Amino acid sequence: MNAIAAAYRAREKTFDAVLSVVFGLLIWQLVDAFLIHNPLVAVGPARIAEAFVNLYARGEIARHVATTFGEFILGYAVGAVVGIALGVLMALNRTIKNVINPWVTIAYNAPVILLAPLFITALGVGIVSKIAIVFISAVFPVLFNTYAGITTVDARLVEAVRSFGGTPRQVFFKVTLPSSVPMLMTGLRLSVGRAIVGAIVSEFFGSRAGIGYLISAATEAFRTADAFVGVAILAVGGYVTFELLKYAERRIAPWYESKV
Amino acid sequence: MSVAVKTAPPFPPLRRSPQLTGALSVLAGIALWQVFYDGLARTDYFQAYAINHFFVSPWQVVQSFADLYQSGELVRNCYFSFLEFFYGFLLAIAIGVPLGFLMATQEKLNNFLDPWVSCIYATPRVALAPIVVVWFGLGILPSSLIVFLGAVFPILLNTYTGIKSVRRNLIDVVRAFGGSPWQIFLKVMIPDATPAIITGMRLAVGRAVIGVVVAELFGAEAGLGFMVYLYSQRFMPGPVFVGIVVLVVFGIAAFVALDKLQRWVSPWYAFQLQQQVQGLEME
Repeated sequence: MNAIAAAYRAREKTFDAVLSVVFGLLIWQLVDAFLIHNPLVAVGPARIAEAFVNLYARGEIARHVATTFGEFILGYAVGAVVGIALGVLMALNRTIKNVINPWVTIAYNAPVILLAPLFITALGVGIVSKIAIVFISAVFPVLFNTYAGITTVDARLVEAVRSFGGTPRQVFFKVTLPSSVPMLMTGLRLSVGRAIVGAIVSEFFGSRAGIGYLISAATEAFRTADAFVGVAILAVGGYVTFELLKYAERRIAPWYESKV
Repeated sequence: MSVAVKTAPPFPPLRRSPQLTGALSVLAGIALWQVFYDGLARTDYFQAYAINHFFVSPWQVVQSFADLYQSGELVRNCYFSFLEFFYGFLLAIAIGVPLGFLMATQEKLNNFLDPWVSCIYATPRVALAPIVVVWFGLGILPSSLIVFLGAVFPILLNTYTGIKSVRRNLIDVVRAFGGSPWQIFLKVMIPDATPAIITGMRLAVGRAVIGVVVAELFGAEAGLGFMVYLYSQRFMPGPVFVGIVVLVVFGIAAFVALDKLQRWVSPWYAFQLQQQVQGLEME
C-alpha cells in the first residue's frame, strides 16, 4: 500500500490529470447512457468514436482533413513570408512604418472573417477563397511580432558590435536578426490559432469539403456526433501544432524563455 | 538648484509627426480606393466579373451606412449583438475570475481541471457554434454562450497568472503583522492581480466579437453577423463593410475603455506583466 502511495506522490500531477480525464469521459458517457436520451443533444465519447470510425471508413475524414490542411498550410505560409517581410521593412524604415501602421492596426483589430462571404463571391466556393482568408488572418500577428522583435533589440549588443568595428550589415545579420528570432517564433505560433479559425469559419460560410464543412453539414442534418468528430480533430490538431511550435521555439532560441 | 523649464515650441514640427503621416496615409488610401473603384467601374471587367457583387467604394459604404441607419436596421442589429456580447462577457468574468483564482490557489483542483482547460483552449471554440445552436435553438442564448466560450479562457488564464505572480513578500509582510487569510486575499492578492485580470479582459474583447458574429451566422434573427450574412447572400457588399466598420469601432472603444480602467484601478502598475500576457493571444 505504501508503495502505491509513494508512487502516487512522486507523480501526483500526471496521475491527477489521467484520473480527471478518465472520470470526465466516464461521467460524459453515463449522462449519454442514462440521463439524456436525445442523441441530438447528448453524444457520449462512445458515439463520437463510433461516428469517427464510420466517417474514416468512408474516407470522409481524409478528404476533409486534407482540404482544411491544404487551405491552412498555403495561406499560412504566404502569410508568414509576407508578414516577416513587411515587419522587417517597417522596422528598418520609419517612413514606411508610419504609412503602413494605421492600416495594419485597423486590419489587425477588424474581424476580417466577416469578409469571407465576399471572398467566396469573388474567388469561388473552392479552396482559393479560404487560402485568402487564412492569409489575412495569419499575416498580422507575424508582422507585429517581427517588428517588435527587431525594434526591441538590446542596444548594448548593437553598441558592442559597433564599437568593435562592425558594419551596419554585420550588426543586422549578427545581432538584430538573431535576437528577433524568439519574438518572430511567438508571432508564428500565435498566427496558427487565427489561421485555423479563419479556415473553419470561411468553410462555414460556403464550401464543399473541409472540417468546417463537416461540422456545419453534420449539424444541419442533426448528426451531432459527426460534428463532434470534427471538433475533436480540431482540438487534437490545434494542440499538436501549438506544442510543436513551442518545441521549435525552444530549439531555435534556447536562451529565450517564452512567457506565454 | 535651478530647474530648466522646457517650453513647447510654438509650432510643433509637423513633418516628422507619425500621427500626421498616419492620418495622411489613411486619407490617401481611402481616396485611392475610391479612384480605383471608379476607374474599375468604367472598364469591361466590371460587368464581366460582376465586381459590384463583392467590392465597394468608400462612398458606397457611407451610403449603405446612411440607408441602414435610416431604416432602423442598424440600430436594431447593433442592439442585439451588443446584448449577446454583454451577457456572454459578463458570464465569462463571473466564471473566469473565480475559477482562475481557485485554480491558482488550490493545487489539487488545478491538477484536475488543467487537462480539460488546456484541451478546450486548444480547440477553436467557434467550431462549437453550430453545435451550440442545435442545443439551444435560435435567439440570444446560444450566441451569448459562444461569446462566453471565446472570452472565458483569456480571463481565466490571466487571473491564474496574476494570482500566481502575486509577490510572495507582500503576503509574508501582511501575515507577519497578523493579517488574516481574508485580509491577505482582499488587500494583497486582489489588488496585485487586478492588472493581469483586466489585461485578460482586453484580450477577450476580440475573441468575443468574433464569437458574436460567428454564432449569428447559424441561428439568429437579428444582429450584426446576421446582417452581414444576409446582405452578402444578396450580393450587396456595402452593408458587409458597414458591419465590419461598426465592429472595429466597438472593439477599439472597448479596448480603450479597459485600458483606462486598468490605469485608473492600478496606477502604480508598471505594465510589465501586460507584455508577459500579451502573447496569450492564441486564436
